[in-house]
Amino acid sequence: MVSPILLIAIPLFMAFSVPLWGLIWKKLPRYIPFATFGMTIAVLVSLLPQLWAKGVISVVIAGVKPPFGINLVFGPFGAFFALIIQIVALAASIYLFEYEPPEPAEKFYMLFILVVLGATGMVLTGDIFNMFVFLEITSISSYALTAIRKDGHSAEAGFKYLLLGSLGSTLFLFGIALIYGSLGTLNMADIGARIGEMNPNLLAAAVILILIGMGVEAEMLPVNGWVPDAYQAAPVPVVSIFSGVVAKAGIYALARILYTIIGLESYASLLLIFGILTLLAGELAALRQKDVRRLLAYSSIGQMGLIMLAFGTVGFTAVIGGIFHAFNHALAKALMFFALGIMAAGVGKWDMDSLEGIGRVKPYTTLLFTIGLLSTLGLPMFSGFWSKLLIIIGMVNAKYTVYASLALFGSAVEVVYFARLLGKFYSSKISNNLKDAIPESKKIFSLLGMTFIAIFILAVGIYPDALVKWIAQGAYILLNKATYIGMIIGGAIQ
Amino acid sequence: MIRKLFVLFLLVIVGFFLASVVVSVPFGAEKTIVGRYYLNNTIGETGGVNAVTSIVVLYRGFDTLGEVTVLFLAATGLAAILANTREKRKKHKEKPSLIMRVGTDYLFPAAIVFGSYIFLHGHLTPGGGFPGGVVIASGFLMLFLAQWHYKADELWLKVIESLAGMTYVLIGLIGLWKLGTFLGNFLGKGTPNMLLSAGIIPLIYIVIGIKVGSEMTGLLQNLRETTENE
Repeated sequence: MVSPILLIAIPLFMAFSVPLWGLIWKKLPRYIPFATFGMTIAVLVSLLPQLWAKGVISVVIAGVKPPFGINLVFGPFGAFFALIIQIVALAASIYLFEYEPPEPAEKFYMLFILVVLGATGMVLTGDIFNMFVFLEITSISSYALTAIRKDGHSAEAGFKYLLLGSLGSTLFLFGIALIYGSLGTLNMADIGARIGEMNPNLLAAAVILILIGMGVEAEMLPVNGWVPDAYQAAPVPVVSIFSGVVAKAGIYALARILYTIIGLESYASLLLIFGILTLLAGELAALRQKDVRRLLAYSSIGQMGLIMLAFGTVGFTAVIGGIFHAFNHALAKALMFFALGIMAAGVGKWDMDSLEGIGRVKPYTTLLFTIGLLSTLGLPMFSGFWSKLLIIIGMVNAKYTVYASLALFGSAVEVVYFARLLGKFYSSKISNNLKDAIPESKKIFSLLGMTFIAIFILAVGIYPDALVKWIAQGAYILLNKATYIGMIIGGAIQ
Repeated sequence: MIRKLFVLFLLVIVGFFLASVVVSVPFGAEKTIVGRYYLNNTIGETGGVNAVTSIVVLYRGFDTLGEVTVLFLAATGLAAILANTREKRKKHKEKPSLIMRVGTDYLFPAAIVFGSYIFLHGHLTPGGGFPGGVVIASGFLMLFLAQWHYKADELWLKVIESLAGMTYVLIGLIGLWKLGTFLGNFLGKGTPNMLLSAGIIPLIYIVIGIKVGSEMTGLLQNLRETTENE
């Protein structure tokens, strides 16, 4: 029997089993993440027909109905984010085939599986305390993965992330405690139905605590100081997981909590303000970066700001754009980081000048990087174009013209630094550091996996309708709190 | 100095506003709906007489699986970061006395038995898998402190930890297969107050006890090896 619970149970089982595989053959753990996420994608896809037929699949755990037990909600919105996470995770695990992991390798693979598991749990759970548990799983494995390379830089980055992350989790937990203390329930649909009974001041405190707490993972402005350091220090496949999986789970949680539990009307402006600040700060900081990893990290912050802005707009079009952009950004950034990892292989340096002229040394990898870059920029024919367009249209429709123009300004800044980056990569002058670059032909599997992502980006860019139809259902559920509550507390429970 | 004062000022403001809202939360005034349901239905629905255990393992068993994973992550993450960073510093220390060495020889089995007792009786008395496992690990801690040559076999710790974690997930999957719900209680409830009752609760607590015990032991060993050179 296929159940959404398998999306959690399979990775957990596989993560625990990694050392045993290692006893059979020392190299076997390397392929376990691929096997794991291959299975989870198969489960996810086989659940889709059931999802379309029923509208939502809600499963209870241990046979106890919510609000007394915990339930998983496999609805269009959560399922779509789960899909994003599994795709990025699968691509990263293909990349792992040819990646020399930091020692101890076994523990690296376990942590790698568990960070994805935590994010999947966050987007599927229907219980707010359970979301906290999965947030802990996600963030603790992220800290360890950031610091795993054991040089001074990664230790510093890991420590920074640990401090901010645990502060964030604590605030989030405190926010949950305030809600539980006044309503006595933890089920998200149940809280959503009874949020009106809560003292408004208390609710405001809870919202702010939750927003700041979850903002750490979603790379929101005042609490995103860990991002550039962690992106620079962590191993390449892990960085793609940070931007494609961890940040996406964070933004999902923010949207889910603000829309479904709180009911956004009064708090929308918070997301708008934090979103625009995050966007502008990220894009402007990216302008000054020399290290390509840091540049991409700041660009990632900027994109997360744009997504927050979309969710803050509370319009159908803008929310579709926001969800769609989360998808596009996850794929494009993951592709760019994979490509960058291969480009820098053997070079050992990551700044723009050292990689000058890489387009002539490793043409195919640079082409893949460029595809990701153009999609992030939102060039027509690439999938990022549609999502950015939808967000801007949505904001203009909602009469947020100032925000829309600031967002466009941010995109213009993006064009400047990305154009400069491409100029360096395709320069005719070839940097001396590229002498001992490992040829890209040694990374066949990684290139194959990346090619799939690139084709996907182009295909969605040319024909976005199928995906947008799915996303529109997710946006509809998100915007109609009553529908979600009715589906969970009403008849849809098995 | 100014910075410190500013931080202090900020803390006071945040503290004041939080405190002023928190006082409006009714504390201990009356039990919540969810809490009342648990207290009234524990014995009937689960067969366990310890309501806390029933909540931890059954009603919110999924959270517990998550918490087991969090503990596992903490141990794994620490081991991953500390690996190959062992300090080669010679520390001058006094050797443990004869009394300590002999004393721990006798206390160690007692700690193991007591720890096992705690997790085996988790559904009947206060305690359960987590405290039981920690008691077992404390037995190993005594050995680490008093008998310098003692070293737990890392391979065995690793294998036991893995098998315990996999068993936990498998118990959940058997529930899914038999009852259609993950972590479903597929064993009989039995007679309350008996050792063999409450379905899968004792089973899960045994697994958690073993897992936590081996995890904490490995963690302590890791910490010991990084701070002192044998």
